[in-house]
Amino acid sequence: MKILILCDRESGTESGFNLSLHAEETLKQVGCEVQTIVLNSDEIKPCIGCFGCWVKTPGLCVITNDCANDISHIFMRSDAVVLLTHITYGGFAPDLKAFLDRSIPNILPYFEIYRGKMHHQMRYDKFPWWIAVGYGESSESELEIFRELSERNALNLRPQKHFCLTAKSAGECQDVLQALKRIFTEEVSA
Amino acid sequence: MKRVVAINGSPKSAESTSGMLIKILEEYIGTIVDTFQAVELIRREDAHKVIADILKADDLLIVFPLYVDSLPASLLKLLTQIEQAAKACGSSLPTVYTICNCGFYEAEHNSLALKMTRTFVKRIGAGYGYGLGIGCGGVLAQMKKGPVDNVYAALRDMGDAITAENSKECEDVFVTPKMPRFLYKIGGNIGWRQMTRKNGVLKQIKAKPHSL
Repeated sequence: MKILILCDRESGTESGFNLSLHAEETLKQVGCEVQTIVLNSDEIKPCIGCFGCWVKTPGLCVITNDCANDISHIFMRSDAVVLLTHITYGGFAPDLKAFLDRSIPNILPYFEIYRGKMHHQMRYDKFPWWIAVGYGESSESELEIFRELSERNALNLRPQKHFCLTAKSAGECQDVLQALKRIFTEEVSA
Repeated sequence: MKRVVAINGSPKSAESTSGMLIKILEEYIGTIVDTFQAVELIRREDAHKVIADILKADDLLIVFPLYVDSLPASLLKLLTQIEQAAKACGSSLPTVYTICNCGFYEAEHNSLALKMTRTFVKRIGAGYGYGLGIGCGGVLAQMKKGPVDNVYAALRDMGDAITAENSKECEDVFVTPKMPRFLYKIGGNIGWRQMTRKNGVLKQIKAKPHSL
């Protein structure tokens, strides 16, 4: 199974529990092919809401002097994407969010009604599994927002499977790694 | 007269719906609202000075478009910078009001983004008014009355809340222009086709450049 780990800069440090390194190691141990990309919001240009990716160069962002289109290419060809982020006000950290804002070329502009509400139509036949992993000191309400966000993202992106894991401490990170192991062990051995 | 400062969280350089909403509120509030673009402010060398000044306002209005179920990255980054500055700020902080608009029909798509800004406000220890979520954001530039009367009424209510002597924290408010959803959906989809045809790429609109 091909897995892309997208992580913020902090997840490779002590305050981020070195989660990106441990996650990569864990997933390799269960036999997955893993690529890790450390996202940097200072290097990813902001989405300017021009919709060029839908009406000028369908499927590709019109901003081409950074890595967003290349990351999308790896993203859409992965079986699963693990998003490691410091929970920021209940959502993704700026490093992650900078790329996610630039990933809308991967869906279509057209609207449709899905599960009672308006959403965009899918561009691709399948969207990689979406595994949001949030870490850091967070209040209960922030954790609840993060879980709700993962559900909401899944409604908009429609991955085949989605999971949301959170860790407030180094101890809980171990639980997260075990959970990642379980998710992918079943898949790799299937 | 209260001093009101606004942060425009739209990364668009011109003609953003967020900018338009700030202008409308400025009229209702009846005073000039100093406005800063989040995407520009985070790059400024004197950002810390500007942020310190923003924190001296009586009220802070944060207006932004919904990006992937939450806040645009540049606004998010600015909020983390403001959080740092607020920790070092000895004086009282402004009361925060938030407006989030989305291109989807249902205003409720904005609910998580508004919860996030409320969380930010709790983290910095400021007072919060409430958040306003607006659906069909794209039509606001084309319509000024009729189906959007309820949006203007909601903006007027927020203007009243900002100018009131005593602010109190309220539940978030959601408003979608009064038009049938199927019409908005059809109109939107025709619009996408027209824009794509104009650019000569209608046949490629469903392209899958990253397919295996």
